[in-house]
Amino acid sequence: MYGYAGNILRVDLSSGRVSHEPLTEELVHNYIGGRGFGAYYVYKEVPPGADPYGPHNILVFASGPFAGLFLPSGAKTSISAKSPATGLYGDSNVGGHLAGELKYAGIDALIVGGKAKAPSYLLIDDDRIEIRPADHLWGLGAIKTEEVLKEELGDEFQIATIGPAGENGVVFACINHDFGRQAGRCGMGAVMGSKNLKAIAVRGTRSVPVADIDGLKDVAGVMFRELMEDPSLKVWQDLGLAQVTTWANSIAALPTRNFRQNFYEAVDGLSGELMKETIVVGDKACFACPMATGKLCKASFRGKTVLVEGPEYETTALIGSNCALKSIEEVAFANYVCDELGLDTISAGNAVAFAMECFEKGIITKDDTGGIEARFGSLDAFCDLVQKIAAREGIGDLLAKGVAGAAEVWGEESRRIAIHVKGLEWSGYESRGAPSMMLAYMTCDIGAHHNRAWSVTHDIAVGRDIIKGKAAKVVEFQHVRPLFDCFGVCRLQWVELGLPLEHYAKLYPVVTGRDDSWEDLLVKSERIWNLTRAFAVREREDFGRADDWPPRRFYEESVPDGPVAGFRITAEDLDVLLDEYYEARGWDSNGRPKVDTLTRLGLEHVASELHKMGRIT
Amino acid sequence: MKVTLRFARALREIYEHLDEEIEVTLEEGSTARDALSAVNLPEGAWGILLTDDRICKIDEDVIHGQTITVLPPVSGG
Repeated sequence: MYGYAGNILRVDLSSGRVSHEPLTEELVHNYIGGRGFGAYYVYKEVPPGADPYGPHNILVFASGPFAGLFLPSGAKTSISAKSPATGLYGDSNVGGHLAGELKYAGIDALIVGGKAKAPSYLLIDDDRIEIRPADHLWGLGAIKTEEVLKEELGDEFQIATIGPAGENGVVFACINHDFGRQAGRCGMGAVMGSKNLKAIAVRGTRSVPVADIDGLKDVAGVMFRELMEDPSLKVWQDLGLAQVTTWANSIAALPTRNFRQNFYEAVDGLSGELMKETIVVGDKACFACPMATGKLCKASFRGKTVLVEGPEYETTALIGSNCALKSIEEVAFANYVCDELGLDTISAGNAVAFAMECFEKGIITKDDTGGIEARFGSLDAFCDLVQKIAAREGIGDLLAKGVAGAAEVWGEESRRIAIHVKGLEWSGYESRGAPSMMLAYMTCDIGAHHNRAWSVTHDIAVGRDIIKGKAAKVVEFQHVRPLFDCFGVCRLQWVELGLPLEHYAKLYPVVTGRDDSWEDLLVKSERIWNLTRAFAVREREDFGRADDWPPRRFYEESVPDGPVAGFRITAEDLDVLLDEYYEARGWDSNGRPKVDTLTRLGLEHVASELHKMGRIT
Repeated sequence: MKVTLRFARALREIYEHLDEEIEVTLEEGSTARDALSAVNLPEGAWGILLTDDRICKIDEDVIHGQTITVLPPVSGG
């Protein structure tokens, strides 16, 4: 099968059984790869009501047809499971070099189920697959674990690890890879930890068949050439994603002090330019990527100097301005602490900022924090709190359940300022002045994440105070952007450098030999979107419109200062956005896919199952 | 004085009225912001400005004959 290794690898950690299944035509035709494969298997194999930490949850590592090929930049592995953060379908993707290595080892998707009796790691060395003891790794940091395994196995292995946070089931524990790349969102690291799986190490030596190698060379050649000639490339190489911070501040979208504000008066201390001048010591790129957005930085704090990859924008926003830290070096150090503990920096920044605001408001005191003076601006407090979260000590045990979990204990006023949707903390764009972006966060299938639809510039282009008519753009993005996660390719070259989508439409047939048009591919993406929604509807009898609602802060408080001071989005506005969105999707007014919609998308079996359960009409 | 604005491809996809290069006529003492206003770009529509292979600040004075490359704002990764 062109573009694929042709093989699914299953590992049952309970029994130790390893098995192979051929990749089926039906799976490839309907779900493409990556997140599509993840959604398919999680829906099919994780039974309703299954404990996300239990042996019946599965963890799917899947690349896609573009991964590991010489094109820009087939580097993405999607990791999917039932999320402990949301109790719903979750996925997160990671760059680096894992996706290609899995395919070179002959694997399109790795499905890990069950639970090992003792700490273990999985070795995949072409056809040699072993579940090995990991007692010597348990308790180590995520980066340290990778370092130890590289020493033991060799540098050519590509390794994914968890840190103590994953071992201890923190709902925002991430999976680490390639020193400083993370599958950060949805607690995939906690699922891995719940299976007693500390790491996966992969080495492969096979090649991947391509339908039209000359065609691939032609299309990829044009793509690389256009990238190299783009004037933006040098800025990306120089500043990476850190360039975003000052822009986000200038248009009032930078999360500040637990999203109370969207404008940070001290942003100059967090800028990408300052980062480059003061702490960057090297560049780093994912597989076949000329952008090299990874920045290696040195940072010192408490007498310790560390090397860290990052911080990129999301980390700077959520740990920097959102916790009111003062310098990019402080953010870089905090980034290192989170990476080693195996914590998603987006959710960790949210959790700490939430605790800081609760502390400021007197909702919690030093009795609750274990003596920590949890003030905005304190790197000491940040480091102490995330250590407690990863170890699940004291207040950390509560914050390890995410802001939604902690707010259940801290009461009504805290719930108002717990910034999440569906249990997943909000990523780096405060959206009171960007209604379509607000809708994108509300309706993202994994919770409040920006990667499915990023539409802030659409709001700027058509009017930031306009509500009506914006749902269509969000739906459009929610189909296009996740396609890249199905292909196993990074989307930055398209969204940031403007490579035309036509190039990707041409790549698909030359790589796979399939004659799907771009419109056909978008339908597949819509199918996947509806399948993950169906997972939620099947999972919870009461799932619906209320789950798409943002935190009260966003529609009860006006923006207090900055370029859009006074901006406010109302509950009525949110209803308008959702009504239009559900209509555009063919869902009912409670946000559930209609039988006709699922049937149109080839999901008759899902429609039938949910209809029999009385969940949809 | 005349200043040339050169727009990156990703920006032209959002704002279809932009050509790859547009020459604008400005008064002496004008800034980069004035140049962008002359082509009806709203605040926040651009990301970084480059001139002579360096970053050009938005409130920086521009001179006759200068070329400014206008990069798009980021698109959220």
